[in-house]
Amino acid sequence: MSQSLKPYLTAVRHSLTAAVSLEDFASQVAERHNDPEIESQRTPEVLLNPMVISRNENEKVLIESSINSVRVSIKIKQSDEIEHILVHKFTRFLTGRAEQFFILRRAPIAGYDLSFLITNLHTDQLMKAKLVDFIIEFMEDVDKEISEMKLFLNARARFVAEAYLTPFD
Amino acid sequence: MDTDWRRIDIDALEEGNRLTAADLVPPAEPVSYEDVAVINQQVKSLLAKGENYDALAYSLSSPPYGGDDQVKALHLSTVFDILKTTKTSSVAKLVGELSTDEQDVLVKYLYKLMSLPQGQQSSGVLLAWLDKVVEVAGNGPIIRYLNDRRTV
Repeated sequence: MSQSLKPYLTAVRHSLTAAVSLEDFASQVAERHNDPEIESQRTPEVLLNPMVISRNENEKVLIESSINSVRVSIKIKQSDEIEHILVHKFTRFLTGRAEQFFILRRAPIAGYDLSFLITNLHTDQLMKAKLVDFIIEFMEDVDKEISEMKLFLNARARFVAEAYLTPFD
Repeated sequence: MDTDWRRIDIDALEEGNRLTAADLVPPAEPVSYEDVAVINQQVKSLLAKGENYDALAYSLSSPPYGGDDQVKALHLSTVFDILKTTKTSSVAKLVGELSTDEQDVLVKYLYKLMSLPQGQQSSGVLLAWLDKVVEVAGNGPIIRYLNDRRTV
């Protein structure tokens, strides 16, 4: 792990651990409703201060918490055009299958690439520590994955160019 | 205008039915720009003498909760200057000497700075500070940051 990634991930880990302490909370606005307060935003007294943890301008995490839900949004590093396309394809692949990923939000919130929505239902069924671990691991792996894909893409482009230009040799 | 009467939130039409974000902020004494500017000058002279701990404790002991945006921005830059000029090796010692309240305010400033472009350019420094605060005080300051309606 690189030198600057470690403090970033530890900061995210501590912030997440603090934010993910959720309980069941029925809506105060609509009777017999129970929706994630961070999504409905209708009860300001149960919304907590948002946290932004940034590694640099292009890489940050936004954690918005409330009494019964936490929204974690990740901005993945995109240093050039190719990475931008790769990240877009990758996140679209994931969000298209959000149903299977359980805590993934179907659309990222504006300015970020991927959002998770953790509710009290999830913390009831899953262990909190494992949930936090999963998000940290995901953030670690996604950078690796993107740079790997970029290398692979470049290698393939070189091979293709060689194959095309052989007849003119 | 939305003409679908089924979607009109009738509870919102009556005053005092619901809390707004402004109702939740506890009252704070107003802080004038001059007060903060004085602190800024004093902190600068303390930093010039190399007394970083005094500068930090002094600026964190009087956060301008009641000030307007301009006042808060000035105090933010005051704190940011201290954070940037402190040596990485002495951060842990400094944080350990702060009181609990000062640590809480420090965490508020760290998160605030990380959400702004000026702070994001030197995130490494901020992350190192946050790391040390958690090492010294645990998750408490972060949880108190989440719940505190008084923003810096």
